[in-house]
Order: sequence, then structure tokens, then C-alpha cells
Amino acid sequence: MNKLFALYGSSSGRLSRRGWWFGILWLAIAYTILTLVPLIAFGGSMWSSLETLAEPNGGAALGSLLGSLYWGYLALQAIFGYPLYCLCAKRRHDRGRSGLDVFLYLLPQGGITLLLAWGLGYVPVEIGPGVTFPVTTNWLASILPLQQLFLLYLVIVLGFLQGSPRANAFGAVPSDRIATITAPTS
Amino acid sequence: MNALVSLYLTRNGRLSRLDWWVAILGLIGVSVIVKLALSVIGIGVAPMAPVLDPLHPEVMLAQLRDGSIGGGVTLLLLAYPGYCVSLKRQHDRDKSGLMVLVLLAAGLAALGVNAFGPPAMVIGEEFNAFVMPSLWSIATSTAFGLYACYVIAMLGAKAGTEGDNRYGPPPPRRDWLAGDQEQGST
Repeated sequence: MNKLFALYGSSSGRLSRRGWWFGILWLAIAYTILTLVPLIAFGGSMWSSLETLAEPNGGAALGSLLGSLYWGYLALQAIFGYPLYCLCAKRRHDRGRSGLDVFLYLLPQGGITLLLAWGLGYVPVEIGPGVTFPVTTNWLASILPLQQLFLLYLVIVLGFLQGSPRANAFGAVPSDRIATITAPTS
Repeated sequence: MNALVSLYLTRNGRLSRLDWWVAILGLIGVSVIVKLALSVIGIGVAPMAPVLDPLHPEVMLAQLRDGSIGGGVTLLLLAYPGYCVSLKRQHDRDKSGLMVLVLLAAGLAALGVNAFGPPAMVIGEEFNAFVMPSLWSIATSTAFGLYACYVIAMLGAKAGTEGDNRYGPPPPRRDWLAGDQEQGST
């Protein structure tokens, strides 16, 4: 339990690349399991709303359903945001940097999901006589590539680049054993 | 903060190729945000506009113009930082900043023709319709694109001069992805 808290509940100390990848793996497994909840809750009506696409205003129904899916997604992000931040900040500390860039990635991520949940990401557009379909809005289409570039940068610095070879302000060099966290020397 | 100011807002000295690429990537990221912020206050394509509206080509036509205006204003706002960065890279090659000024002017001209030049045409109807820019738009945009490729190749790939030149000593080699080596054990 203490080990779990050190890995996911506290952002102090340093973490090796191996520790980070395994930390991500466990988070991803838990996340996948929890993702099934909104999918089971809304997935059925998603399919039935696909069938109503050809009916008048069918696209709007699908759009509002996407909104409900995003509320579930937002809840997942709220649950996983802090553990993810703690995990990644420690890996940034390993390279002698602060966790600021991780924070700057995660915060807008939540904001974007909130806007999507409010139904601001898609608008129903007429694609045929009487047929509408939710189409991506301009702001979302321009933000997404930026977000993906940022993610690519984070995966490189978090998952692949070596930590400081010596002790730094955030602690001693962590061993390569899974989830060994070194604390700052105080 | 000081590093950002000296990178983007000063015109003295020389800049290495890697620093130039990092600075330009940063500017591209900022330009997406600036363009989006402008669209929120009514300059450019509306943030909530759908990216595709197959039944209303005249809407896409208007978006083409609005997008060029938004792009032009963004270019004007970020021209100075872009100029400073590229000028220092030219200094590294012992050259003046004329090429960069010409590129900025060409970019503004191409966007201006798109925004205020002869209108684009809608060819065909409904699903088979597509938006055809005017010949002037195609000509200026193609000329700008080719010249931009040339400038990017020169600035991004050509090595600077060895040793001191008219603009000062060679730029320091900065390794952006290296871990923090400075903070030794305490």
C-alpha cells in the first residue's frame, strides 16, 4: 500500500524509466477496465442512435449522446489525473526538471474534455436530404494536432530519455528496479 | 523567461540549427493558440463552425476567406519573433536578414490575395461541388510555398560559419533533450 502511494499518490522523488513504463502499464489496465463502465452504460443507445441518423434531427441525437460519453470520460480523467501526474512528475524529476510540462499537458486536456462534454466539439451538419451528422468544429480540429505533438514530446522525455547520472535536487539516482522511488535529501 | 526573451525578441548574435527548429516549433504551437484566440473575438473562422459542410459550399467559400484573414493577422502578430529567430540563424551563416523579410512579405501577400483578391469559385452542385481558388490565389500561394521550402532548407539545414564572423562568435551548442547535468550531488 505504501509503495502504491509512493508511486501514484506523491509527486516527490525520482523514478526510473522502467518504473515509469510499468506504472503506466498498471494505470492503463485500470483505465481500460473503468472505461467499460460508460461504454456499457451508453454504448447500447449509441448504436440505436446510429440507426436513427437517417431520421430528421438524428445527428443531433448522436451529438448529445457523444456529450454523455464525454462526461464519463471527464470523470475518468478526474480519477486518473492526479495519479498520472504524480507518476510523470517523478520521472521529470529524474531528469532534474519540474513536473510543470506534465501539468501543462493534463490541465488543458481536462478543459478540452469539458468543452466536448458540453457539446461544443461537434455540430450537426446536413450531409444529405434530411440527414445530419455530427461534424468536428473548427476549434477542436485546430487544437488536436497541437495536443498530439505535446503528447509525443512528453512520451519521448518521460519514457525514453535518461535521468541525471548523479543525485540531483529531487533525490539520489533511482535503481532500475520497478517502482523504486528515491526521496529528496533533506 | 529571460531565455525566451533573448531567443524571440533580440536581434543580436547567432543561433544554431537545433535552436532554430525548437524556436520555430514553439512559434507554430503559439500560432495555433493565437489563431484560435482571434477566432473567438471574431477574426478568422468562427470556433464553432464545422470543418466540413458538404451541402453548403458557399459556407466553405466564406471560411476560406475568413481563414486567410485570421492567418494574416496571426502572421502579423508573430512576424517579429519569427523574424528575430530567423535573422539570428542567418547571422550564423554570415548573411543578412533580407531573405526572411522577403518570406514574410510573400506570406502576407499570398494570404492577402486569398482574403481580398478575386473570389474562389464553387464548381458543381451539392455533393459533387468543390471550392476552386482563383488563379491568382493558386499562383501566389504556390510561389510562396516554393520559396518557403527554399528558406526552410537554408535556415534549417545549412551549417553556420566556422569560428567568429561579422555577427559574433559561434552559438553555444545546447542539447535540449539532455538531462540536467549541472545539479551535482549536494
